[in-house]
Amino acid sequence: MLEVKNLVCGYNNKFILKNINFELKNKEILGIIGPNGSGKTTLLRAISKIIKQQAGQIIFEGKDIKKTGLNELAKKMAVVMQFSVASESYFNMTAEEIVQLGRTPFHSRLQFSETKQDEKIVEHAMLLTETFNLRNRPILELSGGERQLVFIARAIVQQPKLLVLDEPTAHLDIAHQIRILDLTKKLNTDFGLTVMVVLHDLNLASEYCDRIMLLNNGNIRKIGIPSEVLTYQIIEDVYKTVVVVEKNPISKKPYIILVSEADRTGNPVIDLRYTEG
Amino acid sequence: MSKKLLRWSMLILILTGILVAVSIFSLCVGSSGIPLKKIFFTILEGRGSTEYSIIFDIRLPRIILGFAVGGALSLAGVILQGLFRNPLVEPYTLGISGGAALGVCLNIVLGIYHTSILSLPVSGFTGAMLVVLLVYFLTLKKGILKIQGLLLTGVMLSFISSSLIMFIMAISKVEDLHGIIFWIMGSLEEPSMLLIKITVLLSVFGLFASYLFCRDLNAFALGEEDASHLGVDTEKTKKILFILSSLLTGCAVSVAGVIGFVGLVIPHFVRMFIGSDHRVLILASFLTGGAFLIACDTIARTVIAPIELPVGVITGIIGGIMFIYFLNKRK
Repeated sequence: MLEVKNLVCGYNNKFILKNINFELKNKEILGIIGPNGSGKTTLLRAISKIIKQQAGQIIFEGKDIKKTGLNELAKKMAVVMQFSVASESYFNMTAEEIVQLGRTPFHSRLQFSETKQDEKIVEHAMLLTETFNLRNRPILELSGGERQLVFIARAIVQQPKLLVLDEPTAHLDIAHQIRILDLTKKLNTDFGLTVMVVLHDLNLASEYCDRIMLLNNGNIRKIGIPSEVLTYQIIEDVYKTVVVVEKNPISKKPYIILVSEADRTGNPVIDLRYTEG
Repeated sequence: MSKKLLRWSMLILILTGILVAVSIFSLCVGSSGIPLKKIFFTILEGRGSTEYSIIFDIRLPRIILGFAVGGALSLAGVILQGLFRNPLVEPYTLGISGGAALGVCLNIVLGIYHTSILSLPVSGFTGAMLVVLLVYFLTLKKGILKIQGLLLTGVMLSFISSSLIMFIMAISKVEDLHGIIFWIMGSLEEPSMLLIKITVLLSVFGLFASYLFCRDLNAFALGEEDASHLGVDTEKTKKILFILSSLLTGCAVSVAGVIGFVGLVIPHFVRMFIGSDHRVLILASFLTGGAFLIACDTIARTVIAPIELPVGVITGIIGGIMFIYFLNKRK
């Protein structure tokens, strides 16, 4: 599906990604985790041709993405970024208008209106994401979780083979986090979509991903099934924080427990009182 | 779908109706009022009467030019606002009008227009293009776009242009001075039929050309990055649309002077009523902009008749107030 070889890239001669090698298998969910600034979003931007790669090769569906047009790419790969401008945009579009935009790559310059098929695809995607009843609501009136579902619906109407999500659960309550990842899982199992998803929540990554890639300082620290990557040695080393790794009693997957400094040392952490001398 | 198309067609029809009504009204009123019935008979009678020459030689060219210039300016406004997802961006606030004005002003002082009247739109376009290039390299090239920086740069370039115009006026000869002042004040009175024709042609061309990009502009509403994810070549689209809006602005300014804020007011109003789908927004703004400028011009030449106000005074007052209003509302 996707093969990344010796990828180096970054912004303004500053390398964010230093030497990335991995292969994304067909119909898997690959989670990408790592500390802030480790290059997760940069990797997604490189794969979706937003930024140029300085060295290396990205092969998607057997073709180098350098030789793939943006339009061609958009028919096979749908990307939902974390901060979509539409949610702060001045143009107050309705949810349905946003979802319809997902059909853009399939339209020629001279085609004026959507076809019957486009409408069916849009309706289907909105039903699937349970956003159909929101279709006439302005996007700015929707909650964060509802917006995220609308953006995923927009990605679905692109009818992609690969779905790329950048922190789809950020700033959402637990119900919406689960709802979005359940939907992602469903797209993966029922429709055979391959998924690449950046997650900050290690436990969500553990539960939902077939494999996990841990990035640190622009390198892949470890890639493998959750139990290989989410060990306390690796997590403590990369995140520089103390954790305990247990097993989720239901799924038997790794479960990471955070420990506060007070519990770690048995003392209040910082003495706020100022003492002289 | 067909429901949406029907709604859009109705809206376009209504706007065309308004445009026609405004034009007819503008034909009737003026220093010598001609009632509607009389217009009809005058046209039937043909050439010869005073009314006929008032209608066809004075008022009709003005109306046609008002339509083309108003349409071109709102079109430039729609395009720029679409690219930057911001209601405050338009040819005037980005300094494109100012650049065009400077170009035309230099042309008048150097007397280039004596050789060919066509040099006026060319110099307007050159000035507009220079400002666009400056804005592009000063703000946009530096990666992620900051809209405040863009607007501030635009407004400053506008100031610099008008200072340079004042400088040119200060050192120019008295005969040229009259020409510059007359032109800067902004008027739809244009003696050259050729320039009117060119303006009409260019603005209609701009209308068709921008329709090739209406889908891309819709995708831009999601932000540039998301637009690329939908297969839009954002860099290329931006460049082409920048040039197109400079062309429209440069031409409009060189014929009618600096008429501010049409590109700000019109797209915003149209968007309030018909939403932000560029497939209908572009044409609707074009028609509304034309009607608006014809109406403003009619007010300008009748409100304190026999003295004629520059049309930029009317659009400037309305537009400036609206600019401040939006700026405060957004907080």
